[in-house]
Amino acid sequence: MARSQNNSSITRFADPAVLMRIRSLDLRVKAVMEGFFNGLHRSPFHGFSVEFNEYRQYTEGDDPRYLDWKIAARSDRYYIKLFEDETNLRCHLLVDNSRSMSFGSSSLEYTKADYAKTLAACLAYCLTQQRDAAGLVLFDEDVDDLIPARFRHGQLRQILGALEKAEQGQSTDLTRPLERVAGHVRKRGLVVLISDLLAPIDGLERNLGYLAAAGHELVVFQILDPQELAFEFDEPALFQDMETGREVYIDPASAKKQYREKLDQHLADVQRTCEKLGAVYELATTDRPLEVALSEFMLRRARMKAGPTRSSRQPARRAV
Amino acid sequence: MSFLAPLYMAGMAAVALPILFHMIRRTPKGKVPFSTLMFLEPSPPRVTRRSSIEHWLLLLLRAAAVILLAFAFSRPFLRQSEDQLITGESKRTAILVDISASMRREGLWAQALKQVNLVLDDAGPLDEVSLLAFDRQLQPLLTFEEWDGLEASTREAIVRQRLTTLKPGWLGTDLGRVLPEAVTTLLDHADKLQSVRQAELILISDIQRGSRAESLQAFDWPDSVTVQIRSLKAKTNDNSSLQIVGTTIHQDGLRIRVNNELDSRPERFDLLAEAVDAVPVSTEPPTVAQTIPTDTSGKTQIIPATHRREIPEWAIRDIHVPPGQNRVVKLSDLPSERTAFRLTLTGDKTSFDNEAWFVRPSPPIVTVQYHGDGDASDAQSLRYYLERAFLSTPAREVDFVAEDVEFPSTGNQGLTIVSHLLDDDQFQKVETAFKAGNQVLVVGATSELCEQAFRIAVPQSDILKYSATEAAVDGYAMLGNVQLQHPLFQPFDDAKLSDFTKLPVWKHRTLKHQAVTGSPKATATVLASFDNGDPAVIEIKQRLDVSGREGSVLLFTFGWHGSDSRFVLWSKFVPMMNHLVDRLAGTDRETTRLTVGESIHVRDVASNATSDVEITMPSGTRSTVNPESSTLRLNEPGVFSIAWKGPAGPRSTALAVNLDPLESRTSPLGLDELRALGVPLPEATVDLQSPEEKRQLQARELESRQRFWQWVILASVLILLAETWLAGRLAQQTQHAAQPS
Repeated sequence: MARSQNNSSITRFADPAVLMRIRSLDLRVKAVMEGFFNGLHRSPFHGFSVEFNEYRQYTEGDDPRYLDWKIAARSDRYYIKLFEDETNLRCHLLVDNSRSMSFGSSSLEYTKADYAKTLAACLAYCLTQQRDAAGLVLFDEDVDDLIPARFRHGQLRQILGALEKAEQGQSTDLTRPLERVAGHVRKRGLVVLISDLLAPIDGLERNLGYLAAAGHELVVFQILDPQELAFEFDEPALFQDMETGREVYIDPASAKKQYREKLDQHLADVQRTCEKLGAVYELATTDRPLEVALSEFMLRRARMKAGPTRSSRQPARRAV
Repeated sequence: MSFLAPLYMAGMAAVALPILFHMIRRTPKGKVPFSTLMFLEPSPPRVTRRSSIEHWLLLLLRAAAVILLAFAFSRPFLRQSEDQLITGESKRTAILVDISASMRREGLWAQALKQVNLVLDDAGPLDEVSLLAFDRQLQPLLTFEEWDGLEASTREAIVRQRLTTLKPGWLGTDLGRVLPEAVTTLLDHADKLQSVRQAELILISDIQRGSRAESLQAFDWPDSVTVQIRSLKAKTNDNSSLQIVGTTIHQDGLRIRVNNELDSRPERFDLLAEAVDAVPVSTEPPTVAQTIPTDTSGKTQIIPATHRREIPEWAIRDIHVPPGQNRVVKLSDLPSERTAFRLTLTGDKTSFDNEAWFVRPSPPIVTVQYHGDGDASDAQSLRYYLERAFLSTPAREVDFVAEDVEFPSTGNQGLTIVSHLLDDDQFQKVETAFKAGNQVLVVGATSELCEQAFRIAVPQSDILKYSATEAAVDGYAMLGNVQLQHPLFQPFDDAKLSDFTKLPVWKHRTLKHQAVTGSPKATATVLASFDNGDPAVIEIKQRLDVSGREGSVLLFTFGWHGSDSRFVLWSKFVPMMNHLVDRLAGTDRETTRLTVGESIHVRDVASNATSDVEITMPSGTRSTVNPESSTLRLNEPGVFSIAWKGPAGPRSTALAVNLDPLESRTSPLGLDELRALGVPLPEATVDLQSPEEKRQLQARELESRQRFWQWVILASVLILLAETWLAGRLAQQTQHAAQPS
């Protein structure tokens, strides 16, 4: 299925600025998912539904026992749930809670951390909805909070609660959290890393490589603020590193060009590393609707899973 | 405008610094938190194309602060006032010249005279000058009023002439008293100050440490008065001195303290003592000692004419006293028959305080006046026994006088014995003696005598009811029930001595008396009674004045000899009478040390003089004075001899007068110490002679009065406050602009 990015579809999704004003993470997630599913119905991302691979539009002859009645009640449309094998998906959401995630440009009233937590919450919601096991790892230079991936009553609430009350950490270090995950997770699953990845690239390749070698499916969301990409500052000032506290006199007029070159290089390195490891990479700026980020993510993941070695699912049983 | 420290004006060059900082400012205008600096390198300072000054007002404020600070430190003042001071306005100067004993040191007096002449030379035609001498007190030689009254052309000459009459004395120094008095003199007639710009005190003195300057701390100096010190320096700082310790010769000898000043170099001294006559040898009528010219300057010297000095000497050799310390030595084996001694310290170059005088304390004299019949040679008369009963001892002397001898009542040092009825004149004498505090003793050989005794003590007969009659004695009566605690019987307050039964009394009077009623002033107490209960000895007391002083009459109700009793032959008679006299003489009288400058009342020394008193000074000068009205001023060290005629014959005594010990503390006080005591001294040191130094001093004086620097500092502070406020405000504005868009 061809994927087309339709701006009109994007504008129909919730404005992140408006969305982030919803203080309750639970409500915020529901607002996103509602918009997301609505888009799902009308979206031309057909491949999306297929990509999502748990749903397929009902066709005559399908076993009505596998109709998803919730969607039917909500949307008046009929979809068949495709059940995986007896092994459900285990997804580990690794959310960066370091100080650099607390950056947010003055034009936005929210930070990268708010965006990342909302994204993680949405993913956890989706996983829970489809009866997959979701877990959470909040980290900065160490693991702040770890919720093992499970599918059980109250798991989503626990994850949302952990995301909501997470306090700002210190600096970023991917090594230890990824080592913890690698040591903690025995069975293969899905590892979703949500971070700004503003750290030396060699550590990233090494750490993600462990997980890839263990057979995990990797997804990397790199969350950046638009100002971090554009570096549109007017006046010279003392720029202070939010993680180290170091202060440097910067004249944006003279520093911008070099900054953007280095940043682009870094982003390219990150993307290349992810591709090398077979990880799905998605660059999300905080001014983009979350639904779009999710959609893009689904699409890319579907493309990657099109390869024969990556899927473990079985086709749904057809109704007789 | 002139400047005291013009070099500080170079500090104005620092004004370039704020301009420089302003131009190459790279102060960041805000702080921007950013997620990471890993893609950023520090930027070089931004230099604008024009390098122009952006905030003129801020720069001007900073520059103004720097300029004002440099201006203030350079101490500006207006010199035109100085010229006015020199040409247009006058000053009022009081010259204080030290004439204390320490000024006798070699060379000091000549320096003092020179300094006075210099001050007179510097005086302007409009200036007022007063000349005052001081030691313990201020002595005006020429007042401001006198100065104003003199012709302008003769003023200085008059001052110099009066100066020639001045010379150091023997008294100590009291700056704490003298300087405030001099300030009062200076500021007197305040209306005159309207035309006077400056009031100045010029102190010409050696400013020795014993000047009693400590009390100056409490003095509030007027702002209009300045003090200039013309400090005199002795040729040598070596000085040691000696003082007598105590007023008597102790068992181990006469104690003498030898002091050595801190700056002294000699450490070893000899002490010599020689006996001198306490009274004049000459029996000629008192005359003024001779005065003869002794040197080419025409000055006269008084030659001591009467004191004789004897050898041998008593000496203590090689006394070691380190500088700044003192040592007490004991001079023993002084002859007990000699009363006056001169002590001399040798080995010290400064000799004015190297002598001390000592006189053994004179025993007090108790006068016993007898009012009775009989002859001193008649063994049948009471007088015969009384004259022999009272003995003079080294502790006190007794003058026994008959009733016809007139002498002044001397308070509680007299005893009056009455053994016959007194006529009116005699009664008045006795009553006067009683009221003066004399102890009156009445031998009541008759009833009338007993009744008279009460009248002496309590003249108003209706206050105390009494009567005396002859008692009926069966055989003889004995004394019993004796109040041994009373001073009359106290010597017998011992088991071995308290037997009064061996005195038979064949006749006595009996008294009916009542306690005083209606008056608390008089009481009658029975001190001893007979075995038949009749009173034998009664004490009648009357309060004499509001201080509580009491007069006392002791009444014996029996005769002391003849047919009444053998009291005068009783073993207790003589001890009893002498104990009475001992009490009257007093055993706790203190002898005070006398120093030069003190005054004593002649009557206090010649207490029972019946005529004028002859006084011989240490210099030999004699004078005759009335003891009642005369005060003797002890103006020189040495032995003062005092002779007079007492009721029992000629008497004499001697007084040793020594220098004020503080005058021997010759180390000079520093100017800083005087400033610390509050004396308003100028910053410049004294003894300025050159016109340039004078001009500098005047410039400092002007600047210290005008104090422009204070106002400039204040202005600088205000400007800095304004700059701080403006800089803060501009920084806030810039920080808002620096926030990322």
